[in-house]
Amino acid sequence: MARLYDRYGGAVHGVARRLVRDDALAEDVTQEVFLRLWRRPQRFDPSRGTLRAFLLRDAHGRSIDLIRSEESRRAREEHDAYRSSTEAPGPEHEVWEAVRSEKVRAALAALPELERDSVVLAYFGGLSYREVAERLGQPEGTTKSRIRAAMQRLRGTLMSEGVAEA
Amino acid sequence: MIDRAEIDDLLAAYALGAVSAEEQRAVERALGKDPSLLAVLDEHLATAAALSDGLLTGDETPPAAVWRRIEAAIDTKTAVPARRSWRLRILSTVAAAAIATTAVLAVQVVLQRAELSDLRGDPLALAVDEARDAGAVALPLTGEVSAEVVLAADGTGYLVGDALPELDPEQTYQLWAVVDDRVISAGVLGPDPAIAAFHVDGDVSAFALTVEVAGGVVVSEQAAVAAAAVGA
Repeated sequence: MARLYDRYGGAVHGVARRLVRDDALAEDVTQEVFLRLWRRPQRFDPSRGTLRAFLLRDAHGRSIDLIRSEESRRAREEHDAYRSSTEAPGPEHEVWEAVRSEKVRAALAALPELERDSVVLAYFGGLSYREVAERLGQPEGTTKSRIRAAMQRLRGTLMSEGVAEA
Repeated sequence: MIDRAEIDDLLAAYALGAVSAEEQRAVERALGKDPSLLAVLDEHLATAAALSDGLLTGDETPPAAVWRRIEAAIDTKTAVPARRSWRLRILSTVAAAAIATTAVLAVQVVLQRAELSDLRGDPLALAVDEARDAGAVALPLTGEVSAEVVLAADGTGYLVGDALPELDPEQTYQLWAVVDDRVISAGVLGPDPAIAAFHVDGDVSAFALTVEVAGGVVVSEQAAVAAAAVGA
């Protein structure tokens, strides 16, 4: 476990930190991801991808759970003041700033605007496609199809850049 | 009934974690019936993993305390105090050229399997036994479900949940402790906790177990499914 943590702990923590934007919470996510691996190693199937990809996916999932949980808390405590603010920049801008890789930014930037915003809000912002549709003022079905189209385009671009697994 | 075209659309959103619990179950049923969908899903998951990689900069090393807490949770012989329990509330992928990739991945898979073989076994069960032998208090949690808390004098505890029914993936068990008249989360345990380690500081008077949404909550609005008073 120590070897795995040394090898992948930084990436797991990095993903969590960018998504939850809170160091202490990111530490909790990192701890949880490795303890889940310890307790349920059979969840990892080497035939379906690398261990690194598995752990990053788990870090993303735990972080999104956390974002949703924290958003629920804030919604209760602040009467949705955050979402009703008209002056604050939209979350799509905040999460876009979290993307550090030039290749990934370029791949996302090459997408049609609504496809890009849909993927960014869903994956980096933790919104469901229905919430994305509402946020962007688009039909749910159209948003779902845009996410699929965007993922197919991204796969082509990221594979050609050597970023995504074949 | 969801048709193939809708499942195809949903698979991408599913890979991004952007579907409802009901749609998640629908996708997973479809995956069970049509294995060809698995290959499509794996492509989307690989793309999603590449997006996660895009979040990373060079040095993302977590603080040393994170590993110490993990180590403490998996090996009580090197136990160190975990972070304060209120923090536990949240406890709730790069390819190379094609020819080279085959060999590299083969090595990785062998390495990963070897590494993972080190994880087999259940050291937490051993830790619970050792804690009992060292005089830890065993508290049966009773109610709609049954579980047991084993609590050592230093605040190290274990929730033994072998008898707990497995929850849906979008749910989780969450353990609460009443400490100095405050209700605090002692851990988000997941939908099927066999044994989970936690740590509480202070004078614990009771434990309660609730069922919450995955990821856990800060303040529970659910009735306890099992509870126990310390010293009762």
